[in-house]
Amino acid sequence: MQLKKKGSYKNLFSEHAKEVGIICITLIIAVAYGLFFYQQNVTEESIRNGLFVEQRERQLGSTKAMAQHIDSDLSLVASILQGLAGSSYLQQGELYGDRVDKLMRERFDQINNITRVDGLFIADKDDIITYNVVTEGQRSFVNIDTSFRDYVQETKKILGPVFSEGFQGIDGIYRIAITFPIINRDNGQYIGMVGVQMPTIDFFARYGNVYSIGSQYLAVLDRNAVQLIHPIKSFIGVSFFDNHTQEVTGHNIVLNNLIRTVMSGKPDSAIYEFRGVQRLTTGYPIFVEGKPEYFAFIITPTSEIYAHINDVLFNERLKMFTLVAGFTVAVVTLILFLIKWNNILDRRVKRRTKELEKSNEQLKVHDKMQKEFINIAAHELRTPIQPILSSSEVLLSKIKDSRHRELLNVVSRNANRLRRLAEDILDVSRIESHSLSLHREQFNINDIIEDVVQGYRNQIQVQNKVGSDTEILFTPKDDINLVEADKGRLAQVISNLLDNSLKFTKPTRGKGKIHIISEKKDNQVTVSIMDTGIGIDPEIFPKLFSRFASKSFSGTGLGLFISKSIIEEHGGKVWAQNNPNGGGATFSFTIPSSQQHLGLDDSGGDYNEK
Amino acid sequence: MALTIQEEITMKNKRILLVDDESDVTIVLTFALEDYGFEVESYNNPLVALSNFKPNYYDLAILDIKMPEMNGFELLREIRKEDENLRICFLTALTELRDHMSNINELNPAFVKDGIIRKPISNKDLLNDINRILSSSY
Repeated sequence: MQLKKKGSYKNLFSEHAKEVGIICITLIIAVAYGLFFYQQNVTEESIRNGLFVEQRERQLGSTKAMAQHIDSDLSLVASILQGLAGSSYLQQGELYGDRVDKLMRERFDQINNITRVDGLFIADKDDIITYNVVTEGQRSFVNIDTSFRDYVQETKKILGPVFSEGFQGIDGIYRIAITFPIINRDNGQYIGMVGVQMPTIDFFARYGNVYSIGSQYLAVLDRNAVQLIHPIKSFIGVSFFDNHTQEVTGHNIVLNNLIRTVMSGKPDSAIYEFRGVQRLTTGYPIFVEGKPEYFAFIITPTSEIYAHINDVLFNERLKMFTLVAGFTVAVVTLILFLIKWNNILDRRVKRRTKELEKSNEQLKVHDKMQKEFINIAAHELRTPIQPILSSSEVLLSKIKDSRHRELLNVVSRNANRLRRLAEDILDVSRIESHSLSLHREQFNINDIIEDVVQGYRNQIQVQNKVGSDTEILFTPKDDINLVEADKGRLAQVISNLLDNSLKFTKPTRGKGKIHIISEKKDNQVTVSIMDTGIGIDPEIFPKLFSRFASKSFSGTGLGLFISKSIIEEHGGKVWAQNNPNGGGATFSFTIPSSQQHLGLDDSGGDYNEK
Repeated sequence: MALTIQEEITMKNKRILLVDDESDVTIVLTFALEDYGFEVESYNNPLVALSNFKPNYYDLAILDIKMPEMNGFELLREIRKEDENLRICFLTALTELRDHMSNINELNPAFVKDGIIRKPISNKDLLNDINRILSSSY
């Protein structure tokens, strides 16, 4: 079992070519899919990254938009305060009273339409609150000295609008304040200030989620990095860089750098981990009146971002999957169809092969039957001829009366004619059914020619045959011309051709002469039989070697056809031509010559008829 | 036809066994061969020939091949059982002999080669063939 024959692998392959083919195609398709999905993965990676970058940019944009929104709201409030500060009552130093109250309440409502403020106040030049409008449930803080407030001092210092840092109100609520100084237009005297204060949580809650860090939220820092608003309440009012906050954030360098960058006036983004969750933070400075007063941050858990990305990708994937599925279905259908078609063709081939085999069998049987018929016919034709010949021969030896002898000769001659006719017809039959078998051996063709010629010479002498005054001359060019051929059949050919020559040789000038030559040329032996007869009628020429040659005196007309078939079966050629010098024709044939001088090759083939 | 004296002497008292299913053949060939001086014993039925067979009696057996009761080769085998030295030749109209030979090796190759005479044949040629076989050595 170890050693397999070299050929067996090839055989195995060709036997199962169909299966191998299908496996190959499947492999190719699998590899193609593999490459495709790999490519998709690679693409998906970059898509993911791209989408992420997109999301980050978008978030940055949102932060900017938010910052600008806050800015415009704060500016709007400041401009209302400015209007108040320029109003006639306040300008004249009327800082409380009914008239002021009415005006202030109007403005309070107006401001509250923009954003939620819970206190609108006026302070005098000594920083004492002279008037305030507060929301329900709130304590009035009239008469309270506010000079301790940084923003109050700042307002008096810069004599312009102040957007304050964050501060803790007396009631504990964390706020920012916007103030505007009241300056007498005429004499430039500082009269006091007007301001609003708003809880950071109420103010900033308008812009986003300020309650929970579970989802996207916002945080805002003031100039001192104090957190004005953050979902983690303990952060509010505490500097981001304070220990408390830093401990919670884990002193995250990335985050700290981000805060510093944004606080330097540059928008930025960063990804870091906070409270065990990866987040994307984008920060944008809030420019109010051109100055970066506050800093806004949007913080998004990246899981949210990824979820979004995954949604997008999922849709893309779904599209791709549908495409691929569709393609796969098409391919599978095609393969199935091909397999089915292959099976159909297989069956057809098998059927046709069977039909052909059957038909072939029938032909073989038919052939065999034909061969048998010919053999049986041969036997049956020859059998009765024997007693006819023998009887007439015996009688001829006994009967002396010449007339009786003449009749017996008739019987004998015609029995021979019948015999020759039978043999010719049987030969033609064999030729037609391609069952003319040759028993080849190596011999000197000159010997055979000599035998046949001698036989004819004897016959001419003894039986006074036609052409008895014809001389047969045989001059071989070489002594030995070896050929590999069927002796009997070759003798038959030579006989036939000689017969032909004798028939048509009539002495035109004296004795008729038949000259036979044999010579070796190239790898063949050429035998030529020249006669001095009347030559071949050009009309007969084309039919000379066919079955339809004209019948002659003693021949069947089949002799030349049979000779041609025999010679051609040996691989040689037969032809005839009229002699150029006029007078007679030449019949020639070639037989392939044999090279080595082997012994007689008796391969024990079938014994054939002469 | 006249035989030479030499021929007559050699031919006298030579006994020939002739077996052929065609009675016409046996009638005529017996005639011809007796004319040549042979003693001829002929049969149309090989079985009868076998039952009357006398070993070491004949000089030559001439057998047809295609016979209904038994073909020539089988007959030859049966004869060989009783007479090993008898010269045997076939006289047949058959061409495809192989089809009828069960085992060519059983036959003496010399006999098979020289000993097949083709029908139809002239009496004179038959005589020549017989002489050749009778005068040949094993």
